[in-house]
Amino acid sequence: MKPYSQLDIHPDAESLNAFVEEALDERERVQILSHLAGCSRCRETIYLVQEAAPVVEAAPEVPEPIPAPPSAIQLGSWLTNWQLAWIPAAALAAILALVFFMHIRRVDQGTEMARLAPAPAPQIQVAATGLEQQEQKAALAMKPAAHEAARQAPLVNTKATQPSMADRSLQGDLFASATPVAEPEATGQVQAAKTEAAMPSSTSGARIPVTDAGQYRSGPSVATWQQFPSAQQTPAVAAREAAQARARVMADGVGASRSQNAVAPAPQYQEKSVPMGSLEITDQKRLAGILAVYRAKTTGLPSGLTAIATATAEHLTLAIDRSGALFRTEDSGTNWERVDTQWSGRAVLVRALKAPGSNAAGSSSSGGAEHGIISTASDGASAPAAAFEILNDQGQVWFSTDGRNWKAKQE
Amino acid sequence: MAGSAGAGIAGLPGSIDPALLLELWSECDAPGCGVTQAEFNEILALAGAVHNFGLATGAVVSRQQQAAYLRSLKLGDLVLARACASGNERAWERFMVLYRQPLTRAAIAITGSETLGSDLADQLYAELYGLSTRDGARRCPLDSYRGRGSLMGWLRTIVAQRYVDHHRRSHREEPLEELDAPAREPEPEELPADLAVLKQAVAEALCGREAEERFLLATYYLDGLTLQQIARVLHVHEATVSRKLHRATESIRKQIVKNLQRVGLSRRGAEEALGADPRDLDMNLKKLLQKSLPDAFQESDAR
Repeated sequence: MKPYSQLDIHPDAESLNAFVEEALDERERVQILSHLAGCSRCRETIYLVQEAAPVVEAAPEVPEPIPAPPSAIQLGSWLTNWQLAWIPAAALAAILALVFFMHIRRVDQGTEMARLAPAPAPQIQVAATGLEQQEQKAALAMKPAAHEAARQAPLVNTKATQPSMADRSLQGDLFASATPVAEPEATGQVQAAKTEAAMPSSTSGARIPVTDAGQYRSGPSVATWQQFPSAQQTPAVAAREAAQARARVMADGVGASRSQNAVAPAPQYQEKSVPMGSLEITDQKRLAGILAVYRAKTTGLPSGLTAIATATAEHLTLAIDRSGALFRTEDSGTNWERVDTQWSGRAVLVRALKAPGSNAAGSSSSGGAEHGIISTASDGASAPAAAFEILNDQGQVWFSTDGRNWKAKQE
Repeated sequence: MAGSAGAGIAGLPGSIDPALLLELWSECDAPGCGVTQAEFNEILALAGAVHNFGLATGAVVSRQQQAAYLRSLKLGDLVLARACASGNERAWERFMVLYRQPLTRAAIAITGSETLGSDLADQLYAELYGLSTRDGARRCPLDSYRGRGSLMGWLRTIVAQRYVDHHRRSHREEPLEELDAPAREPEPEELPADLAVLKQAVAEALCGREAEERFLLATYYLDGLTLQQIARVLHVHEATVSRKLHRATESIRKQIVKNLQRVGLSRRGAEEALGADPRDLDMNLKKLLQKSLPDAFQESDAR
């Protein structure tokens, strides 16, 4: 037995110092600890020694890892080390999946827009007659002038003709209005003092003032309209726009000759500014639809059942639960409204489709809203934005534009 | 040259490998302290024999264990200390250069007083120099240094011990003694029966605790050290101390419940008895932690 384990004997200074400096083996360390547990004198001593020692000598060590058998280390450590990493890894994967999904959807939409972009010109020619045709000719005559102006004075108004993102988002409806003729008062005035440049017209060689952003916002030209991606115009849209153009022409009496003084926006502006506002709005609605569908299929509907079929168009989402009850929501599935049964049998499928008189096209079950922006931006509430169909278990179809009132669809 | 033969001391077991002695001799600057190789061998043999090369008393020591133990020693410090103890002037010059100022600073840090610290350091210098005698012989505390741990740490420990003893001698009338004296035994007739049972259960639960657990309980609950301070003493992480303390208290609690059940209480009754008055439990823990130690560890004034 060591001397310091005898009655009335304390460990010597060397043993205490060796304990403080970790110079003892485990057996002697336990003996010292056992003594220290009951001896306040020696505890005070080592406290004082510890306090007086330089900090570098008393730096605490990193906790030792728990020893484990080699096999356990090989197999278990991987899982053990990844336990806490699963949560952020899963969150990151979910975010990446969402971003990828959004990217794919956007690319698909852009591809479709590009494919449909050349279509409007012949459609307009088909739809327009009389004054419309004259307007079309005048508008088409503007295109060479605009390109020529841009070619000859490319640097003068580049900055002015590229509005900020805020400008573009604020005036998405104006971009979409597709006014084929520029406003007469917008063809000169202020910009002449700043950025007026010689722009020979394709027809008369007159000087055409170069537009600025403010002027451009007041009335985009036909050239702008033709390159507008959302102008995937159906004949109905083209006819509506042509009617607007005709009304303006008749109101100011300018006619086709005004096209010589028409504003010619820079092509760069058209290419960059057009898609932004519509994409933002579309994304919001698409996300709202996705969220509503997700909620219907996961957290369930007010009936307590999950959805078996969903359809989304514009801001409206419909869902049918397992009992055949129909619900509608306009706020991303936060609040669901049960629709009274106006059909026979049991509803088994709901789908969104193009509404009469509009370009809107909905989506069923996938949660996406693929309808164009024109119906929202230019038409406003003049035509229903979406239409839905319900199919019952007997193969019969009911039709609705608002999801509330349903009528049997005649074959 | 004496180093060619194995070193051994009469009456002490074991001899040291000559090759090892030669290797260690070449590693430390013993000649710089005026120590010959023969003296060096004797110093190592004595240092190893006193602690039986770190093994239990009576255990047979192999050459490998000898080598491991001797290599773990602070040989430079050991040689210097022994040279100083033997009155070597060159060693004393080196000692003063290396340790005088650091020791004074350490003494001031320990005492918290420049005056007291300087006095304590000067007094220790006098003792180390061998001014004190016993039975007519010059006595130097450096003789007791065996090279386990640094010489500077050993000096700090000596100063700390002397300061603690000085404080105790000069503050006997103050409540500091309450920490050391066993807690006053309550009157048996005043102790309720259920509390007596609880006390007995706590005492039994504490008796079987490991040394480290009891040390943790003492430092945390008796001395009021923080987890960080305890971690510094034990050279472990603060979280390790926290975890061990939590485990110790939980284990003690379970053991107390078991002890109470063994004397006839139901589990619910045992839980209620344990949680009836935490202050009583705390007082019992404070007292029984000291009493739980074997008699060999009972503290008394060493002086």
